[in-house]
Amino acid sequence: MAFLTTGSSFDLPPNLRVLVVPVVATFVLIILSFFVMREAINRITLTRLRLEKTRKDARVLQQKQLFLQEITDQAQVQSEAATLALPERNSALLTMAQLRNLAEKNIVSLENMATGSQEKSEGEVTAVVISFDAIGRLERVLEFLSSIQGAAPLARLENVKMTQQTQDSIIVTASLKAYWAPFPEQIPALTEPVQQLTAEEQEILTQLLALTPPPFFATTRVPTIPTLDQTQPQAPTQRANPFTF
Amino acid sequence: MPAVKFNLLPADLAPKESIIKLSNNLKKISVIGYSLFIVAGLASAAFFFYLSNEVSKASSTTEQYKQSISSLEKTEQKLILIRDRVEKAEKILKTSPTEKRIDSLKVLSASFPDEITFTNVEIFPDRLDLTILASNSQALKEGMAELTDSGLFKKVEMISFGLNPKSGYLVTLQVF
Repeated sequence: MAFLTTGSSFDLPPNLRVLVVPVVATFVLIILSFFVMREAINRITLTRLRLEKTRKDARVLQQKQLFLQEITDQAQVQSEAATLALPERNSALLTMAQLRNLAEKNIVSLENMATGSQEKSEGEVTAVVISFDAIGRLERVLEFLSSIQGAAPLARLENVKMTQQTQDSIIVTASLKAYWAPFPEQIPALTEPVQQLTAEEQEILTQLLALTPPPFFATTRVPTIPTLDQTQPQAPTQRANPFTF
Repeated sequence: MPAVKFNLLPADLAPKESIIKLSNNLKKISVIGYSLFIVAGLASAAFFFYLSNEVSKASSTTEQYKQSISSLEKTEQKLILIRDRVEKAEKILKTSPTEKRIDSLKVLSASFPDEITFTNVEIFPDRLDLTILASNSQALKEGMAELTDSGLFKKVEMISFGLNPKSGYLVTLQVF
């Protein structure tokens, strides 16, 4: 009972005195291990996750780079055809020119061609109605109407009415919807993988590629989505004199 | 002569043998624990530095790819444009029943006898209204047989049937 009688805190009982240092040391070790190891595990886990993500991004980017390098030429042709099939701006003039061209090819006379009002279709697609009369032999007129669906820009016939005009010719009164849609304005993040076309979409693209372009349309223009710096006004630059020989 | 240990302290001031054993064991555990702690700490630090090094290597590779892809941005834009046009064109191409009717009419007009003429044709998305003039009954019979046997239409309805002795049989049909 010396512990109680002396009243000093340092006068520990001998049994307790022997245990103080090892117990405190063990306790400190446990506390230290808990906190230090927890921090170490957290940091290592986070770094491993970062490493996995970075490696995954690298793999995606590598595949994307290879894919883009492979299809550069193909994408040029396909984007031109797709843009011709569904232009960015009102396609009424192009469609009318195409109608005249097809009528000429099929020996059909076109009359009363006029454009109507614009109407919004599903999504961002807009359509304009073109009405016309076509006169010619039945088989020629049918061939002409049929060829419209195989021509660019995309157009769909509506309200087709044929009446016999003479013994050999018929007159067709029809209206045609010509479509166009604005270009997309955003591209996905650089690290996003390239989404390839599904089999169904590939089939649609094949159909678009098969459309007959208007004859005067030189497909040399590269249709691209304008980047921000391209749309900014630019200072006038010195142009070469084209009349110097 | 072996050393003799003398303990002159009173017996109640000396710690118990079992407590001394426990204390010694705890000391051993502490020493082993601290050693393991130092080894584990060093190993963790080494692993952490290795991972950090790998992250910086992977980041540098990623940056290289990003730069390379930036130079192919126009191709990527074209791909997005193609996908966009295809998605929008799909909706338009799905709504083309009129064209199918025209194709059917082309086949029909080619297979009809020469004595049959189309006097009036109206094309609707769901049906075709035909008025045909057959100069004789034989031609009309052949024409109707062609119409039903062609397999182009699901249903044929006769709306009117007339006979003009000068021009022939005038038949109005609705085909679906």
